[in-house]
Amino acid sequence: MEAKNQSELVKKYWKGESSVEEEKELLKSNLSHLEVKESTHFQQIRDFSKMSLGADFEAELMAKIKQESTPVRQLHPRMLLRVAAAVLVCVSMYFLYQPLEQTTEETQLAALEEDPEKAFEITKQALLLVSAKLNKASKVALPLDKFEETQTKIKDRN
Amino acid sequence: MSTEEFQKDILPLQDKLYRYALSMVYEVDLAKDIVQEVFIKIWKKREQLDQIENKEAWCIRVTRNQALDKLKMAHRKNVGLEHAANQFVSTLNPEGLAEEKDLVAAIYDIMKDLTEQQREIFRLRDLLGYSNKEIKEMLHLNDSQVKVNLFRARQKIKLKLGKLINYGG
Repeated sequence: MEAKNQSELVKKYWKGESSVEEEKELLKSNLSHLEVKESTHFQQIRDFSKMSLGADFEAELMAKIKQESTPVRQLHPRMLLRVAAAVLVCVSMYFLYQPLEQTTEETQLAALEEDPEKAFEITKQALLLVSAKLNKASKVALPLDKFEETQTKIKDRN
Repeated sequence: MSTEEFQKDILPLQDKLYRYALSMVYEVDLAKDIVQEVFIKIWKKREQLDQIENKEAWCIRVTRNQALDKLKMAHRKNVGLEHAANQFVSTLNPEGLAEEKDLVAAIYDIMKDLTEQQREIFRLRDLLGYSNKEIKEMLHLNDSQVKVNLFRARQKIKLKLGKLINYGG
């Protein structure tokens, strides 16, 4: 680019009238013909336009993307709720099973017992055991039937 | 969008996005982090990319938002958003390339007295090489707004360069 053309182009540049193509040409040209302040300005823009991320960036980025894309098995909240519910049921069953088993044995003994008073005591003990373990009357609904039945028998006898 | 398409259409924008981020935060490592975060964000949204008409403009916008977030974080730690960029310039790694540091500081110096809109137009036009038409679409401005702001930005810079010479700066 001739010095005269370059000078004209610089004037257009400062007025904001140059095109992108003309500015590219200006940046490519030999800036030594310009005043120092202008030459420095265009040199800085030219150098900045060459700044790059480097060759490693893309490889690092793709590795990171690959790492982030690796499926991590995550439990959905609904799935977590299902698991929690299943655990709760298992734990409940464990605690329920223990007293009921004993209660069943006691109830069978009570049923075998011919003396209603003894049967009543056996049933009462079974119920106390259940009550102590679970502290919930609802859990003893079955033995309660037996208890009532025995109570009625005693009342009828008296 | 497949990995191949991402590598072909989006990744070539890396240096442009880097320079854009660098001209906002003036810190080399931070600008790199911003671009990496931007690409990861774009990758995660790759299914929606086909619906975006001007992907390059959209990538620039994502980068701008990411850089602004970083500046806001700096603002919370420091005195003000206007000073946040200055803080980055002053904390450039002294062991880094002196030329790179000087260049980034010079670009900061060129742009620091411009208004936000002038700065954005100067950044897109002079530092990234976008045409007025592209800038108009990116910033949702009209022709006249782009032209006037570019003119004023360059006049301010020219005036400043003149002063530097006159005062021997």
